[in-house]
Amino acid sequence: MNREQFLESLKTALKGLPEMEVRDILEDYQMHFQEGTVEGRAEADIARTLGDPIDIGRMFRADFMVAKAGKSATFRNVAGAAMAVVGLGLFNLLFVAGPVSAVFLALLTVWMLLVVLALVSVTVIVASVFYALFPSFFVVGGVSPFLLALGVFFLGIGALSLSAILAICMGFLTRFCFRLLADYLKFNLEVIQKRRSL
Amino acid sequence: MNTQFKKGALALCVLTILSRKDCYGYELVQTISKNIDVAEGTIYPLLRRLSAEGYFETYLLESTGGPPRKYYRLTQKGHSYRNELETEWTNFSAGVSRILTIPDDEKEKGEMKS
Repeated sequence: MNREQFLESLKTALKGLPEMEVRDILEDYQMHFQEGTVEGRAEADIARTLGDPIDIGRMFRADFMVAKAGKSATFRNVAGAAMAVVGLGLFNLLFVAGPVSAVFLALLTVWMLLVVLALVSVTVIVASVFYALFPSFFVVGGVSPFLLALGVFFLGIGALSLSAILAICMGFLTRFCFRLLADYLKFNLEVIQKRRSL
Repeated sequence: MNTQFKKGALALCVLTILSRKDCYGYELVQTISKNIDVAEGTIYPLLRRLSAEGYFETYLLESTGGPPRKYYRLTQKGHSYRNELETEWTNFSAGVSRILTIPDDEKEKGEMKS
C-alpha cells in the first residue's frame, strides 16, 4: 500500500465525521508519510508500520461518536456511539451491545405502556362523551346514563393526566439513562484503550 | 509480549515522553515504536483524544525544508494525569512482580518449617 492508497482508505473509513476533523486527521498521517519519506523510507514501509487504515479509522470514529454522545446524550448519538464502539472489536459486543440494548428495550417498553395507557384514556373519554350524547345506544339497567357518563369521563381524564405525569417523569428518566450510557461508553473506551488498543 | 499489555501503557508512555520535551507527531511515534512493537497509526487517535481531554496542546513550528510541524506540549492537567497513571502503573507492576516471585517465598517458608 502506498501513501495515496493508505490516505484514501483512511478517508473512506472516516466518512461521516465533520470535514474539519477529517482534514485534521488526514493531515497528521500526510505529515507522517512526509517525515518518513525524508528519512528515506519507502511509502509501502511507512504504510505497513502504520497499520490497517480501516482499523485506525474505526478508532477515530468511536472516539468522535462517544465524545458527541457525551456532549448531547440523545438516542441517536448514544445509539451511534454504541455501534461505533461495538465496531472496534468482539470484546465490545459483550460489554457494550448487551447493556445498551437492554436499557433501550426497558425504556421502550415503559414508553409503549404509557402510550397504551394514554390511548385507552382517550378512548374512555370519547366513549363517555358519546354515551352522554346517545344514551339509547347502550342499555345499563338502573344507573342514570348521564351520571355514568360523567363518572367514566372523569375516570378517563384522571388516567390521561396520570399518563401525562408519568410521561414527564419518564422523559427525565430517559435523559438520565442516555447520559449514563454515554458515560459508560466513554469509560468503556478508556478501559479498552488501556487494555486493547492504547 | 502480549498486545494487551503493551497497549495498556501507551498513554503513560506518550505523556512521559512529552513531559521531557515537546515533540512532533512522527518523532513521538518513532520514539514509542523504537521501544514497543505497536501499529504506529494507532498512536494518532490516542494523541487526538488526549488533546481533546486537555492533557496537551499543539502548536506549529517551522521545520527546515518542509512544511511546519505540529508539536505537542503537555499541560498542567496532563502532568498531573501522567503522575496518576505512573502511580497506577507502578502499583500494578509491583503487584505482578510480587505474584511472580511467590513460588520463591513459599519455598523459603517451606525450608523454615522443615
